[in-house]
Amino acid sequence: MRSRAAGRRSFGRGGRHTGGAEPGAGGARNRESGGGARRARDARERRAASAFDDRRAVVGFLLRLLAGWAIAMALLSLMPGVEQWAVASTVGGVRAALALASLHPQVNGSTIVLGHAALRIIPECTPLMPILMFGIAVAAYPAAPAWKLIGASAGVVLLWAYNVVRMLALIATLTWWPRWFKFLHVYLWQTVTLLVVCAMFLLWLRMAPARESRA
Amino acid sequence: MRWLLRFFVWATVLAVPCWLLADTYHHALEAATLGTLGIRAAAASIPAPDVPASHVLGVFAAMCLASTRAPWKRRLGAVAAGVVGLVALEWLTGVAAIAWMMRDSGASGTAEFTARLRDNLTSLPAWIGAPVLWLALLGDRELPGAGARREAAGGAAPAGPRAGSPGGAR
Repeated sequence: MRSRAAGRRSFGRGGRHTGGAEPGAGGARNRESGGGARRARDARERRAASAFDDRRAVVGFLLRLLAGWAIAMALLSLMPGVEQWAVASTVGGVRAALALASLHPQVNGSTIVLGHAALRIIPECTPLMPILMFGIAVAAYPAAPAWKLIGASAGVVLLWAYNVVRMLALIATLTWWPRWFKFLHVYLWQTVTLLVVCAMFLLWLRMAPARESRA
Repeated sequence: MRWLLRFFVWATVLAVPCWLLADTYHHALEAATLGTLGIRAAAASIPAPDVPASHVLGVFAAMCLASTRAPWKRRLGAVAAGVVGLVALEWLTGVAAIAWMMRDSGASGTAEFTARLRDNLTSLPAWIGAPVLWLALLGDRELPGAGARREAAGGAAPAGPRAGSPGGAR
């Protein structure tokens, strides 16, 4: 399981030789050299080379992430209509979800009123940033372009749905436990949203098809 | 998936002290930011953000502590270094945002694009500060494929259990 996973989701240089992954070749060399000291030194060297690859891969991933965020922020600033559309679609989604439960809220602009609860949707309440987090991470990670496209598309749908559920949870909190609203708002916004994005990213990696060997 | 569960538990546990420290931390950041810019203003003049800055620290610490690949020494080192880095990042963001705002308010007709870009950029640390620092400090251990390849390269690394971390068997 472990070797297969490493092969499928190799993050750094996929073609680097790792002795443990190729027991036949490693064993032959070990037989030639003989001696435990030599084997231990080889293992140390391979670990060091692998650690260097890991660090380099992480730095590359981070740089691509930051470049992606810079581009995304510039585009968002150039196109304010995106945020307005995100607010309108969030309001529409929450309204539709409540309608499914036979509840009919009043909507005044970007404010949803249900009974005593009134929730104003601002750009930060939309799934825009979580979608960007996920989409940029998917785009920055080494994977097949088609798989990236599938992941990003599924991410948009799932995160949009998650955000509607989050809004419904906040409306419920505001209705029944208003004293807890502020804490839960922050908790759901930051912690749970990040958890959902991480979970989706890991799921995307886990379901990734095997990469072609570069060797 | 064990990493996710551990992250959830740690983040939930740390959410409470971070919530209790939110006002104190916010006022301290305000004082440091305004002091750096030489602005004499009441400490409460900067409105508190929707997501308390202290909460970002808690989420970051939870990400590090949830690790199942890195040894405890490295996790705690990452928490210490990362928290210092996040505090510095918040402080620098505050200084840059206020300085940028003051410069723009003096100029006639600030471009809408610039104002939006400033708002977007200054909101970024709350979203990506914790994950980016976590990647920088523990990514070589925790990212999928990394630890497994190292294990294959030279036997067990001194990290303890592996299954369940982001890069572990799922």
